[in-house]
Amino acid sequence: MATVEARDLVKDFPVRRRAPGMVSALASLVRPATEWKRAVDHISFEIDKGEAVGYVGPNGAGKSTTIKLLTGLLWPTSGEARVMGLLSSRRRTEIAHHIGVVFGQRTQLWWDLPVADSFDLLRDIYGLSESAYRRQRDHLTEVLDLGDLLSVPVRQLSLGQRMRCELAAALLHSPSILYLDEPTIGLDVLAKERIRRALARLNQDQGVTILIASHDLDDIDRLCRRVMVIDQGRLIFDGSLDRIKQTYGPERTLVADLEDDGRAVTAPEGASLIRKQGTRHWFRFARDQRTAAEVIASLAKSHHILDLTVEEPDIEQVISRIYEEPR
Amino acid sequence: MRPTVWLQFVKIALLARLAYRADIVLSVFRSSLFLLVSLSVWRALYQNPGADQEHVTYSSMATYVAGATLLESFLTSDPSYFLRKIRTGDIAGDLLKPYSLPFALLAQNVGTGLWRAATGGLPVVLVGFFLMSVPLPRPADAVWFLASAALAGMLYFCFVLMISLTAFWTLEMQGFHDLQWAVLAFASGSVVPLWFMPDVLAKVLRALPFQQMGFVPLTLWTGQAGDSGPLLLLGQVLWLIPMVGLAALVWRAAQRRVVIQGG
Repeated sequence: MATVEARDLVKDFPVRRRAPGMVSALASLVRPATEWKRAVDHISFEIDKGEAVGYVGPNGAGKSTTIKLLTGLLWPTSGEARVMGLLSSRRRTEIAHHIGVVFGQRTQLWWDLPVADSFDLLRDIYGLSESAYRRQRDHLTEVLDLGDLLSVPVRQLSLGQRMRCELAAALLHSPSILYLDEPTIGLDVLAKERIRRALARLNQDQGVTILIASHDLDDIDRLCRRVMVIDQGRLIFDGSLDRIKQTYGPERTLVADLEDDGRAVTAPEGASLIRKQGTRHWFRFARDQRTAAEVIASLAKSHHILDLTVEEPDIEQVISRIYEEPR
Repeated sequence: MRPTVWLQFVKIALLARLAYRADIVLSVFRSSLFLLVSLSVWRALYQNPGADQEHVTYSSMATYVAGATLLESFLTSDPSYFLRKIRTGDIAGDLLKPYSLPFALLAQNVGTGLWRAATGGLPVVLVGFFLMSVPLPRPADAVWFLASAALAGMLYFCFVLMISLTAFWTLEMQGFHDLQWAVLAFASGSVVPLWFMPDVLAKVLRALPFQQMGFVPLTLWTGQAGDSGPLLLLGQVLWLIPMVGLAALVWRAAQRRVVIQGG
């Protein structure tokens, strides 16, 4: 049985519309015209225990709506979402014990109080035994590097510190599933890195199933082997990160510093020169036609190579290519 | 909800107030000033011949005014609570926890109310007693008052909960804020007791639930209720039953709206 299961999920939202102008403003007071907008359009997937899945899509694609449907915060228009076999829309309170949720830019901590007070409250809310609570709290303090943040009032924490505390708050009851909606939004590079490192550990060491919706593809690249791509409410890709790169990013780039011997640089067989800056040259080649070794060997015959690297397609480019493809 | 969770919510609300220790002095000062002004207005009114209606003496009236300050400090529910939660989206976090949000909220209100009564209301009653010679209630009356104030608190909570839940539909609150103030100050009888209202108005207000959150506990506080204490408490309980039922219905409807429309 899959830990998280979405079957043919559809969610429509009512949208009030009115034409500009006084008359229609008054008319809409009496009878508001309601249209239905489809936010999630027949989405199905399964997530197994221990998986870390990236959920990618532009703003308004339906990422957050999907997560809300999975948690039972929203009821689907049709289709169903299940968590550990329980129907999300009917068993929200029960499911709450199995899941942790972090919405970036929102807080579940008490603004005026030290973090530890919020944690104590969560202990009672989830009915944790004192020993289980202490064990998990100390573990999270270590993994998320909370140190002495616990005694600081939340309002005095930096955003990065607060996000780490939010994560700990979401994990205190040792949920088996963690939903993250833009967990690194607004954070600086260092803070992002700490969060990613902690998440990777939680996933690998503790087997926490993670579904992470993010704009920041580095989040996904670091954590997830599997990616789901959503656009305009539809799931347009579901597969491994490697496959996405191969399917949508079939080209690799050889970056080589060549000794300047006055001769014009010619591209090796099967590759094309796409950029040049000083002695540095960028050659693009298709991964299914040439191996990197072949291209390098071919280049070495005609030029003296000082230094080189092979670049894989950046996941950001890959995803933007998926969106550009006609469907 | 388990009692430990309930107490934890009361405690956390108390602790949250503790973060703002500085406003204690300010709020005692403000309320004392308000008490002083009210007392001088009532003293002026009592100097008119024939003002001594229904045998309510000036000193009872002074006790009534001081009691009103104490009661108000305890009734602290904040109707903009849900509006803020909806606008920020924090409501999602509450709904995804295994507890009932209204009960958690009630517990927090108890915590805040106790804190405000202890640091704001009670000191003002003492200031009134020592500096403005406002008589204290008899101990037995004070006990009746406490029981009645607890019921008033629950009634008031239901009332505010229903009003603030309308934010799920309207996403707008100011009008309701004003309404709440008008109800609490005027219709409850905590500013002008029902004794002094014109007959018709007094009849209307006695038929409404609002006097249960002001006039009724304050009548007990002043000792004007005589031996009808049990009857008055029973009246409050009888109002509480439909109010709780109604609030529960509105809460269900609001939750339904959230899961269908996303709040």
